[in-house]
Amino acid sequence: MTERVIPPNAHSLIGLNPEACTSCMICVRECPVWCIDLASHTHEVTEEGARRPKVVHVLDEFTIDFGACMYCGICVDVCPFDALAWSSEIDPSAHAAGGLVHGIDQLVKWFPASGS
Amino acid sequence: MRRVPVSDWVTELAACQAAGFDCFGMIAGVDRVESIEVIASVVRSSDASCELMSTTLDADRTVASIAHVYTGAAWYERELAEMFGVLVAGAGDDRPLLRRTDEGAPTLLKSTILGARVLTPWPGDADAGDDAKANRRRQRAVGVAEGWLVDESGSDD
Repeated sequence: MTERVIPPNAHSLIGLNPEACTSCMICVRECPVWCIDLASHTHEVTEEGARRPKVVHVLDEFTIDFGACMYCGICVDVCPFDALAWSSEIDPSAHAAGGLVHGIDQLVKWFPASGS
Repeated sequence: MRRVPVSDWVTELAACQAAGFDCFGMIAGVDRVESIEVIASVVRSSDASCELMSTTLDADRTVASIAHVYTGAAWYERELAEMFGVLVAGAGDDRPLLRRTDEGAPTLLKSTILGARVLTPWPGDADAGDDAKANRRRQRAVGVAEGWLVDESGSDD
């Protein structure tokens, strides 16, 4: 049986770096098939020497429904913080459509170590 | 991509076949708003070279069928008729592929309002941050026309 070689720049899946994500919602709004869902809350951070606390967004949930995703890559392109990147991992199958919805825990594993 | 007048559509594709482009690739429609563009690709199997050809339809949205030149084109022409409302002149088979007959406007025209876009909550409608502060500025999804998304107060802005 011939071994299938996946090229390193293959557009197979999309990975997320939650530490880079600022919950700006741009990817959610630009997605043509509405397959990205994001939930976040605000948190006040007081930095030493600052005159007032800084409000930061904390990412709570981030899901991509790969059953709806058409792999157009718009989310990867529009992310201003490079929090989304193409992964060459093999697209996993599922027994039901809901099994193709992946959250932060899984998406972070698909984020390439060096970005893309 | 080679652009040809709609009157030469069949002649040009027949010329491609005579030039050795023996495999049919696909036909696709593109809604350019002011007109419908039809694109066809054919492939020469001897050297895998591909010829892309496009034509812009007139206001009557009619194009001649090439199914007698490339048999495989018939399926794509049915799609063109069903999804873009194009009249394919001389097509032997005009049965709809996916939608029931008379089920409303052609689905892939930009002017067609898709029910799912109205009934499905847009994930981008929420603002970043606290849920309680969501919807301070209502936005509209890309590709959703004004007036499609109406909130309970009756405004869509």
